[in-house]
Amino acid sequence: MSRIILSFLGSLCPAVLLNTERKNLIWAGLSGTLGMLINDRILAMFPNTALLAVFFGTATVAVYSELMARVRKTPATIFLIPGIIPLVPGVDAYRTIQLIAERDYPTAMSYAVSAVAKACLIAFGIMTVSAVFRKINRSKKHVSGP
Amino acid sequence: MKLREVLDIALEAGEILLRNGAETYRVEESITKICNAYGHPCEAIVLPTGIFLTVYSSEYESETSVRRIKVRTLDLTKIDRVNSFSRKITYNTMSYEEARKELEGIKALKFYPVPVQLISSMSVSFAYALIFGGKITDGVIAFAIGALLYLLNLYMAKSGYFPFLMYFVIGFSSGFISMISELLIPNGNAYIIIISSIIMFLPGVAMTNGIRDLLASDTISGLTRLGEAFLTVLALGMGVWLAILTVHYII
Repeated sequence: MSRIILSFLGSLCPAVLLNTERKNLIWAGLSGTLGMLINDRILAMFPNTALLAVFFGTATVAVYSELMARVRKTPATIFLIPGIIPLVPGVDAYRTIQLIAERDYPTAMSYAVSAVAKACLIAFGIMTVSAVFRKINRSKKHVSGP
Repeated sequence: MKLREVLDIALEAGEILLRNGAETYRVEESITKICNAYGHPCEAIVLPTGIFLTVYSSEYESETSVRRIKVRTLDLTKIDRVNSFSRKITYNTMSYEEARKELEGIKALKFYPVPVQLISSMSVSFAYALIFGGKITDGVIAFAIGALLYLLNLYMAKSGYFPFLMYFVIGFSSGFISMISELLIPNGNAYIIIISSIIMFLPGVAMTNGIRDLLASDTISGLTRLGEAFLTVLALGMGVWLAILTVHYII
């Protein structure tokens, strides 16, 4: 329960710092909570699958953002960027630099790989979901058009 | 509407989008949408550091212009507004003065007031300290450092230092205060305090956006963003490292 509140705060407050409009703030916060919950759930079910968990967390956030974008008539980015903030590998990247400075190269390498892989998976998740939604949108327009 | 004026409106909208951290494909799409709304084909090349745009008329005349963009921040409201502006303009085209006025209005939109931003940047640090498994005391220290870093960022951005110096100073002060507080307060964890207080400056989202640009085959933009993210994390990391060395040297 505390984790739900924390992850809600952890993407609501960045949303304020990124200047999201007041009426969208709550929904931006919820998007982060959702991503974090899925991420935690998968990690609890299958340990040692951090990358898979991040991918499915992102996919959930992306689907949620696309749906909310339809409901609230804004671009999906408004909910997407705050939503992925708990998932992005900023800390891994920082840890890499720190370990290189401490001359612990093997561990630094593993953190670097994890940072790059997470960033790639998050980008890939977002792109896949938005491609699917674009396709659905276009075919719907095609049917209802003259 | 004259060719010159279409060019001006499209570039202005593109500049607002790019200045406020929109993705490259969105900037190109919006510019194309605006030009097509007035019945002109166009070619746009958007880089993170500038926009090149040529608008053609039916008589094979063309107008070209370039905009250089130096400072970039993230402001989701402005992206949203320009996006709906470009959509609105395709349904009912407006005159040059109207469009110009609307864009000026979008440009003048304000951020949240400083106290609200201060409190939220403090809460971000608090929340992440607990998410990373710190104790309440770690959270409270991160809360305080969050305030300090936000004010530092505000001051340095206003004085116009180059961003990497800013990140270095932010990393250094975060590391220094965390190490000192670890010494003063029993069972504190400096590592958790450091990462949770600098979390908003770490370029996780920038890295992801860079790779998104690469995947969308905006290769130059993607590489630029990735390079910028790398330099940011390098500046932050070196700042923290220097602080840790200093504290170890003093004691």
